[in-house]
Amino acid sequence: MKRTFLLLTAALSLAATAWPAIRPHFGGTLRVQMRGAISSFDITDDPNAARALLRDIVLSNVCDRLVTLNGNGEPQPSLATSWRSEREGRSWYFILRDVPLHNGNTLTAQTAVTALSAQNPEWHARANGNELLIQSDTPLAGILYQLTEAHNSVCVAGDNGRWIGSGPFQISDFQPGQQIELHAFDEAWQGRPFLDRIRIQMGRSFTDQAADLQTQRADIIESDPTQPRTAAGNSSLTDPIELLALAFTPNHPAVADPGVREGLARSLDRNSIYSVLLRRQGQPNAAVLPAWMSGYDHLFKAVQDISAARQLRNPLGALMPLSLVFDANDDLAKLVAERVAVNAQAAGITVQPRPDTPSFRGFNADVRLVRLRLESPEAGAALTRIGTILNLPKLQKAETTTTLEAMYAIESDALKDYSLVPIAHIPEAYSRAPIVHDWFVTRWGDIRLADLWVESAK
Amino acid sequence: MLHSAYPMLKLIAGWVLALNIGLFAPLPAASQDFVFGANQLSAQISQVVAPTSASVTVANRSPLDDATVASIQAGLVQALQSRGWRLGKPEASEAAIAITLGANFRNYVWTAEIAKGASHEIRILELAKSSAGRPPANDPIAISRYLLISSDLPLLDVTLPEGKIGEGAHLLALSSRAVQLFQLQSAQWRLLQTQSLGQTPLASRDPRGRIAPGQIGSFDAYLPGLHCTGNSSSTLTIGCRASDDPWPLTDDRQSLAFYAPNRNYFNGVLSSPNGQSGTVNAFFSAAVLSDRVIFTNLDGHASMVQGGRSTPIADRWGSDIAGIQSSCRADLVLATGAGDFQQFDSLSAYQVLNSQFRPVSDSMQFPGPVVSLKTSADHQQAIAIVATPSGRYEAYLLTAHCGT
Repeated sequence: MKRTFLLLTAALSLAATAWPAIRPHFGGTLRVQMRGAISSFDITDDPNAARALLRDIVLSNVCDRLVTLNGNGEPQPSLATSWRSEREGRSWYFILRDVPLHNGNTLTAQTAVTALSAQNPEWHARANGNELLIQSDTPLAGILYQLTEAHNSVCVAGDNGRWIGSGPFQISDFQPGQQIELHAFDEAWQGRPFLDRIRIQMGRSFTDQAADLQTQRADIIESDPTQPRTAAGNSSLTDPIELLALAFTPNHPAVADPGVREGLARSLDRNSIYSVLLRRQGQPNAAVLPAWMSGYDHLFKAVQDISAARQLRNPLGALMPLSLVFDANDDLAKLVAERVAVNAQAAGITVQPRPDTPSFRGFNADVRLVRLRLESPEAGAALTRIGTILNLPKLQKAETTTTLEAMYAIESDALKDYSLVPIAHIPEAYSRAPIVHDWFVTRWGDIRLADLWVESAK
Repeated sequence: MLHSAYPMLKLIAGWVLALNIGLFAPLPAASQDFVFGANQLSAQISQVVAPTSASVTVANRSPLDDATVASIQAGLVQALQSRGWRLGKPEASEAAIAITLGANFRNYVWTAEIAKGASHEIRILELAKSSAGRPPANDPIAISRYLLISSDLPLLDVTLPEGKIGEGAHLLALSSRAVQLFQLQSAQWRLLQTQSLGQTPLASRDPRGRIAPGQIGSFDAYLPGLHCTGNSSSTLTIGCRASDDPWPLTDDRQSLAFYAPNRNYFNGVLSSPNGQSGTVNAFFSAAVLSDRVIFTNLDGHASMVQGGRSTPIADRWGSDIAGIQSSCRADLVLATGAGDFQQFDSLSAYQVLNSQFRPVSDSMQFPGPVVSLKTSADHQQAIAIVATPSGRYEAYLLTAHCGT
């Protein structure tokens, strides 16, 4: 039973399963197309999910974070090799790794302090040798998860604000709104990536992307999650990680009365939006967080109630039409906005959908149809970010909570005044050419291009 | 000896009683987590609304199968009734309780909405997904191991005071001279403190020991001729005295046995937290299952005691065994291989069926002998200590998973 050959056999069988059938090839250019487009290197959160996705993919391959998530969504060391907390989570100490940056310098704790302080003004960060101290007046229960988010990437600003980091790729070319090119960073502390180059074309419609994938002019595309998967390549779908919601603009007289907001909320036919417009992808939801993240979303009732909506609206007398702005480049948002207007009309509320244009921005509208990318699988961190992006301080309180019951209480309190009305959660979808190998996207939408390789150089 | 920190254990029938009069009622397969959950949720419901007449609905939004949901529903009804709720039809009830069995990507999430008059209360319970999936009972079992610590000190036993592994969790390691406190920081166990025992246990060529967690950071350590009590909640403290107190065989302390201090086995005299006693043949180790106990006897054979009757087991196992639950099978016995201490060791899972044990997992190989094997407090895992050829000692957390 205990003979040596068993160990040898076990070791050999382990080796056989652990090694890939085809070992990765170095070299080649990966051609990526995406819907979002950026014109500058802005690391702050973006209420536009398409731009946020593009930003997150570039950031996660150019700049590292102190902490990363493993496949189970648990924090793991990255730039920080270890950490400890004191004062019941009000003080956090991180020991930083000695890693090279793209500009030839070495990462210092002061570099991290500068990057994190800019994104988290409420934190008090300072450096002491290779140790970074983050302090707060309140316990930072979810700080490890917050540090895994894209906006907490540790980047240095280069020429024209270009991101310089320690990640596997460095930015080599940028044409605002058009294209961004990344080159392999040979000295990457986790090893050189397999690819030589990644070329990302920005602002491409779903239709154009699908056509380019079919004609082999693209290797990876962002596809429409509501459409059947393309046959030209392999497809993948994340869990629902985008929140589709109505965000009322504060201090706009037309929506100042909570009865208007609640009336509009109760008029929504989420099931119809889910079945017809989303083609049963994702999840209709009246909660901020999707079921896979919280497990308690069903406590927020999502059923249409026109009669209740009318009862709320009728005492208000004559109402001004409400302007509802949506992303002009987002076909799905346009359809949903139009459906919201139809639902609202049934309750006696007039809603006028309008695309976001230079002459009519989101802040001009009474209501915005937002698509928010949930960056973290952790409920507290996700609620906190949404609170920050939409300027909802009640949601930001989630930063200090740990229990699901407390998260629910915060979410419930934040939604009580109907200034934010969730509609649904939507997945992200990708298609790729057969030459792309070792593609992997986590259920929360994290894509690591450094481990990916293509069959032949182009 | 009953430790004063465990009054709750008095509520639980001792295993000795079960051995003698067959008190153990077989538990439904692998449903202990959900029984616990049903009790917890019913307690939370009763805290926010005083028990009265109520209607109860249970909806399932989780991956649990219909049979499991029905079992949970029955458990919830029973737990609520035991707390004084009078359950009936909505039209004849003062309150309405809507329970939803949900899940997120980490845990099961059970919610209760309690409506009574104008009040509407909500309670949420999280349950670890250790019982996830519950595939069919015929699925094979895979044993996974997780290396807790590797030590130059000859480890006798380790325990997880919080009963789980997560950032900030602690681990206590017992050697013949000291207790060490570790903490999981940045996914690594870091040694926080070492505290000498202050006394020396009786010398042995095969030293054994046991360390078991208590409440609020307390713990007990048992070595031949010594009983130590300590606390690890702030700084590690420990005090030892000469003693022949019985040792706990599992971390939940429901099973106690007297150790023969000048030998390397238990003398067969059993005890329980509620003071009952009994006697079996001397044994090296025991696997406590829900309705029976398996002993590895000094003659190299194992025996099964159920309802006061002892039955020999044909399988040839090593000296160390432990009983654990898996997500799809209740009552597995983890048994070491039957080689001697100079060889590599192996460990396999067995399931009892009609008094016969059959292997349900591949054997897991270890680079040296398993010198200690015990069941964790929640019976979901086992902790093994392995002496490696290099002279280092390794502590592993073992878990049985469904499917290979």
